[in-house]
Amino acid sequence: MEHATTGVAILELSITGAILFSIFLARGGKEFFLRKIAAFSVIDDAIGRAVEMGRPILFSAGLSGLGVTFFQALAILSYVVRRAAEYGVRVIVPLFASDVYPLTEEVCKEAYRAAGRLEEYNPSDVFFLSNDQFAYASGVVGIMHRERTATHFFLGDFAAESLILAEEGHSVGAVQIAGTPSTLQLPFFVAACDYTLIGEEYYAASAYVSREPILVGSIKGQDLGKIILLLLSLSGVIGMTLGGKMAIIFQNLFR
Amino acid sequence: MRIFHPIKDPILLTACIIASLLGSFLVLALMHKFLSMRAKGRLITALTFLAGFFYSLEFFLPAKDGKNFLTPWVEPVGDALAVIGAFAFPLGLISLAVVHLGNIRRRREGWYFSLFLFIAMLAMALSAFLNHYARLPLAKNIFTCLFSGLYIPLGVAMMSTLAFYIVSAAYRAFRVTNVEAVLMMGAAIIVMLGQIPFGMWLTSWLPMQGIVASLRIENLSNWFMTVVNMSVQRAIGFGLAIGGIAMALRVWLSLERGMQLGGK
Repeated sequence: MEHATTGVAILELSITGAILFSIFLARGGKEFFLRKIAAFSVIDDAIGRAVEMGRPILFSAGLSGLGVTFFQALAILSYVVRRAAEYGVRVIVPLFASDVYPLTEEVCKEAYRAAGRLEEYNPSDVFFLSNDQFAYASGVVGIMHRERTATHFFLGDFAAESLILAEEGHSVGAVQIAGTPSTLQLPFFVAACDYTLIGEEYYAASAYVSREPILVGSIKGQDLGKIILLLLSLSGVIGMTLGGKMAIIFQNLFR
Repeated sequence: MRIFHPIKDPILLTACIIASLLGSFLVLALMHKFLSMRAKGRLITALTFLAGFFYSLEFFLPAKDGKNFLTPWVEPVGDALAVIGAFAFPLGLISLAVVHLGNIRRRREGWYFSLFLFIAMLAMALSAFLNHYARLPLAKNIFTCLFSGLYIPLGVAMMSTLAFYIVSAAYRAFRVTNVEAVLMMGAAIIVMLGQIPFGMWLTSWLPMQGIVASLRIENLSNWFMTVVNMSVQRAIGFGLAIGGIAMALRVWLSLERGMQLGGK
């Protein structure tokens, strides 16, 4: 089993501490500034487009199973479904993993309840499609063409099917917003989608759309964490350049 | 330590399965009847915190020979989670069945595809079971025909369409509309040429050693991949790692509003 070395424990607890400190500051009423990111600004516009066209929205979490990536996708889905429910637009959610189905269904139902439209919730809009990568991809592509979806959200873990989904989505003329932690798939999304959440933007999405002080605080904490890593990287560069004992210290810091 | 050791005695195994199912149903029925929505939400919050606390404690506590007092429990807890996950599979099947039965019942457009799904599902399951347990030659042939002759080629066909999608996406991405697009196209051409013999041949007249050797196409391509590309990948990786920690903390402490159930 992997266990934390002293260096790793100090680093991880420092970053965790920075995030928790920022969350407590935010809970205490401190306001943080968030820079403008295009992909977040257009989420409401993309939902609005589906309303105007009278066509459904497609939300795909890709190959996500239960995990941090899926939970983030779920947080954004909750917001998208709530806004769509307010305007009476369907959100179709095909799922890759059966173990995330009950949770997704519950979150969608909760979003409809929050919008005061629980009676309009259609359980057949959230469904398990297939746990085979390309069967899932062809199924989602079929939904795009049959339902003539107006807006697509691709948020979660994606692999080779990312470009199939994004290119087919482009061909049906939908506005597409994508985000994934997989750096290998990001270029495909950037090339084929209208807006892409890059890197940690993906994990900042729920804070951006909800403007919840606690979540915004955690974004500030992420920035502090990045400063810690930046200082550590600079120290490492200087230490390794100087050589001698300093270099040995840095080489063994996380071993 | 293994709490999910295979039980050899078939009677004991059957009794354990029935007892587990009845026990689960009883607990869930009691919770459904007596717990309010808010209490259910609190229960989920508590269980989430406990699960996260167990794994983080096991990771951070000092370990001797790669083990601390919690390490022996990691595997049983993982097994338990796998069993809980396996229980979710029928839910997926039920979801699939409900959607497609609805299509057939209401004669929606393309309803026959839904019918075909059920036929394919039954044919695949039956042939696989008969092949595995009864060893029937006919079942084996049907299974081989369906799996190796149909299912795998269909997947490969989907995979191979990627080549065409890459071309169409690259066409749009590399349209020279601004300075960034020019830089990206230039870098892409160098990287692609660096992967093929023709590209290497183009700069083969340059010396193999010295400063000028850096201008050979394979070296330029390598520089783009290991310096320019890698630095950006690492920067994104750092951000993702910290973002992942922040998200995990929000889930662990149930701060993620969108995921809180129970009408909070």
